[in-house]
Amino acid sequence: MRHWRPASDHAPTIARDQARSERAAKLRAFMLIAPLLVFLLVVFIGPVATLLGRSVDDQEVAAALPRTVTALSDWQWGTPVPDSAYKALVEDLREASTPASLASAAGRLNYALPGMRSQLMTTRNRLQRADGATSDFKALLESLSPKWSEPESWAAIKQASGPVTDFYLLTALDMKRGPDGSITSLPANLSAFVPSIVTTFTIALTVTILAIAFGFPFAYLMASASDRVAGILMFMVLLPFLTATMVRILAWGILLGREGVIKSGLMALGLSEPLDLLYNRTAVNIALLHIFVPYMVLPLYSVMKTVPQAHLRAAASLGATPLTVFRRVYLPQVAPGLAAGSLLVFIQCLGVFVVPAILGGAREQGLPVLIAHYVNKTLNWGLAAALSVILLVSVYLLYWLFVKLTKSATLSLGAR
Amino acid sequence: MSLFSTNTKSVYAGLAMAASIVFPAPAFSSDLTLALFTSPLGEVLKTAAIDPFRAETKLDVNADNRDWGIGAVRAKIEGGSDVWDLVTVEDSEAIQGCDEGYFAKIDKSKIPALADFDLMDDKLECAIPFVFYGTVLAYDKSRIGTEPTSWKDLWDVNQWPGRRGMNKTPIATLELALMADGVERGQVYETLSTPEGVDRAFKKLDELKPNIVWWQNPGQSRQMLASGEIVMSVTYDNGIRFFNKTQGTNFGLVRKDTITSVNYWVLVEGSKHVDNAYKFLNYASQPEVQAAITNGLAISTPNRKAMDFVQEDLKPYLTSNPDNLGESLQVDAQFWVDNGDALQQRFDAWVASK
Amino acid sequence: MKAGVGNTSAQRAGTIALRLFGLLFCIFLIGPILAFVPMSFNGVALLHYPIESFSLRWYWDLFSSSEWRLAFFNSVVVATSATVLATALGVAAAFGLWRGRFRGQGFIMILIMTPMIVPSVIGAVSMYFSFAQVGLHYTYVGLILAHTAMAAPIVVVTVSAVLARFDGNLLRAAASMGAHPLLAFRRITLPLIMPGVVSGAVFAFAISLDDVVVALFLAGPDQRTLPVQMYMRSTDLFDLATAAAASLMFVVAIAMMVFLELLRRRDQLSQKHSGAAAGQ
Repeated sequence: MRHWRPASDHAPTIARDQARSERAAKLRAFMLIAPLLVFLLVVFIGPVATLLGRSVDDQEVAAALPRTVTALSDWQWGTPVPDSAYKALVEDLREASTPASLASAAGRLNYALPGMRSQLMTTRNRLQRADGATSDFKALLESLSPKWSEPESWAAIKQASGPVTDFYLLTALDMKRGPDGSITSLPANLSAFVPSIVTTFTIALTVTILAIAFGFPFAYLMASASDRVAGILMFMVLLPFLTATMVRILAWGILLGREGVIKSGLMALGLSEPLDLLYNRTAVNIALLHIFVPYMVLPLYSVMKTVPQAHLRAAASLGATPLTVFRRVYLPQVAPGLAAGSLLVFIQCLGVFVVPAILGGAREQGLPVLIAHYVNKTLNWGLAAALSVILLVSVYLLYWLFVKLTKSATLSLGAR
Repeated sequence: MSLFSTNTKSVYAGLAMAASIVFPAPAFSSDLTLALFTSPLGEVLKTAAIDPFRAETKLDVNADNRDWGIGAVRAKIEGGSDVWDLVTVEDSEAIQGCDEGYFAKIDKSKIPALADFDLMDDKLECAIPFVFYGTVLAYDKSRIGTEPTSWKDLWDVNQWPGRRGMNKTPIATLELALMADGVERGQVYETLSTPEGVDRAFKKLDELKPNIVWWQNPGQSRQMLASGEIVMSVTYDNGIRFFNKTQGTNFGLVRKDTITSVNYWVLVEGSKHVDNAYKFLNYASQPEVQAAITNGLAISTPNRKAMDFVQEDLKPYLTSNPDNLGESLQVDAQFWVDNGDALQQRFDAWVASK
Repeated sequence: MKAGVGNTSAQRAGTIALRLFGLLFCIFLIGPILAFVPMSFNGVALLHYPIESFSLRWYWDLFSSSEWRLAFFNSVVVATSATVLATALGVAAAFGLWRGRFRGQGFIMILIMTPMIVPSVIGAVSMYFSFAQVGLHYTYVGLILAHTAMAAPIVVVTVSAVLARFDGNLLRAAASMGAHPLLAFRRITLPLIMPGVVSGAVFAFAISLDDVVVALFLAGPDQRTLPVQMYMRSTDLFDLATAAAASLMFVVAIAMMVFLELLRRRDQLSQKHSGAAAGQ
């Protein structure tokens, strides 16, 4: 819209027509982009946003126990639980005609305070069997489940009264709120997620460094070879790249196994003690290097191809040592490729799921594995969403860095 | 449910409608869809119960693998779409799913064969047991040398150097750690109900940690034993017998302090094939069918009458054999429903830490 | 860049070392996959070397198993449909991005790149929840839509790279002679950017064929694709039929590779951007 100006009666007709046709052209161009944009918004971006929304969404308890939540709204930790809350809870539980109408709220409370699920469920079941004629709701509840005399139960309900919560995000960072609302970090032996975050980043960093160490000289070799040789080397990079990842993972599983080729080779070399090559960090690092090194080689190669030899020769003829030539002349020129490759490898490593699941041991299971675990096994979707938020924020910070460095939003392996 | 649901839901509904016009839904309609555990249990259920049921009733029965996606049941109930009718579940899944209303109440009077069943729990209105089995210590006799005899030996890395396979779940793992630490079978859950008991279990696991390889699917444990990747493994008793029979391996197992678990059939709430589901449950509960499952997999049946049809040579190996059962501890499913979230989180923390 | 900077013996040694490294690294890249292939012809059900006898039994197992046949069929159906959709959407969008110079084009690009940036687990879980709400999970439609979303960005990237070298004056000339924009696109633009379109389509196909994670969540029993079937097998009872399936997938990769190479040779334009050419 840079060139568009409001047309006035005095403006020459040609300029006005030009502006109009330019506007029409822009609209046509946008209409070409729109289908993909709408498609992605509906099929992909919308669902991701919805998932992230789940990490702060907290409406189950308020939906199942509306009166209790209202009755507790003014209650402060340290003061006695108001009588109105006992009455409200009894009414809410009597209203819950099927266990299912209470279940998701009970599940949510159980995350915050172990035992709350069955406490709520048994109270409801007993309440619906018991006769209703009483006015001492406090005594009634405490007779059904003694835990109602503990203010922690009530604090858990109050803190889960929504509509939004920081509970899942705090949990994902190994922190929790006490009943009085103060935030504390969990002791080291209880912190599950920060170590996983560290694992995820350590593996990504290691593989990126390995990819530089191996990818850089290989790309250099490609760039300095004859066209014929470069073509063959390119084939060697692209073929595994186009082979399904699952195939490569299984290949490494077999190669590194106890009865695999590598083990037999090492034994033949006189190494008698069986080596454990599988289900550990080494296996994961090797497989990830194999899978992602093309993402390092390709952008590096496309940049190295453009570095003029004359610059290097000129520097050398001026008496610079090879190391100086490399550091002062060559490296700055290939830096964009190096940055692009590193970020590509790093970002992809953050998201790996199948490699650690098949080749890794317990200490290689990073955030993606945990996310899948909480979605499918323990069904704690709020926590899965909170872990996704952490992973996604890290990835987008790196992507932002990528866009800043390469001045392009396009993730491409070729020359720009 | 979620913050954005009202808007997005209508968008997706529109999308789904548009899509269903462009692409007609796959023409796979069946009269009953079962979701089974992975092989070998799933395979044996197919040959022993599902195939003959299909032949007898001419119903189009579809058998799916439930290994990936018990979460789908919940997603399905939230969305009201139709995937599974009957699902095989573990004990704690049954209790929680029944409480939360994912599974429909089963009218047990419609299944007469249940009168001969053990392990019937009146509180569990939505599940009927169909097999039970034990978590044991298994090893490859052809590699091990001296055979281990108790959970304590799992910890003895001096006599049996090498890595050990364990199921990556706190369930049964904490129990066996306590027994290895000297807690009596009958005292396990009493101990585990106290914070000190939980600490004790984790402390015991700490000792073994560098030597543990975690599996998430029992097939992995057997495969790792067979390839020598691990020297012994916590795994299921019946799978060991099955593997020996089908793969020609020579695995042995420790019977003492077996931890037994029950598997149930549950009917998914909102199933559109309730009548067919009852037909199948009736068929599958018969003594002959139950015995066929037992004979196929050396897995125990809750149907007392089925024992008449079980192969004699199998009986000593069964979890339900009185000699074996006397040495076992049943998983306290209610304990795990109450404490599972917290213990799972602590377990995950412990697994992830150095 | 033929020879090194000087010709001292140290530099010669360096060159030799570099070449040796290149050779070893090529073995690292290709070796593991090649090691798979002979194993799938082993007559004995053992996952190790040496091969004891030659047999095609695992391939026979593969083709006679209804599970594997369905997986093959599903992979082909899903990858083909997703490729067609992603190519259509992606080419249109790339052309639009090239024609119009909007403000906020960078932002549009960021939106389009989302499926490539967001880790696949998060994408998979998100679509799983949203699709489940409308009954789209466990359907072909759902899986195809998901793979289309994942593959479309690569088409935009590849086609954009080719368009960047395309002379817009050609279209202006056509327009001045009265050609309808659609006709101009079909007769002038499309033939010139065809290499980019085709390699974009090949990469889109490869992405769909490669995906495990999204299919793991979105595919029901009837939609299970080849990689998912391999994943399921590998965590349960790994047999050599899986190795045979892997070898077949390797053959598909070679076919795609050869296809891309032929395309590159035919198209002189993209020669200087060789191979991976126009994109990732």
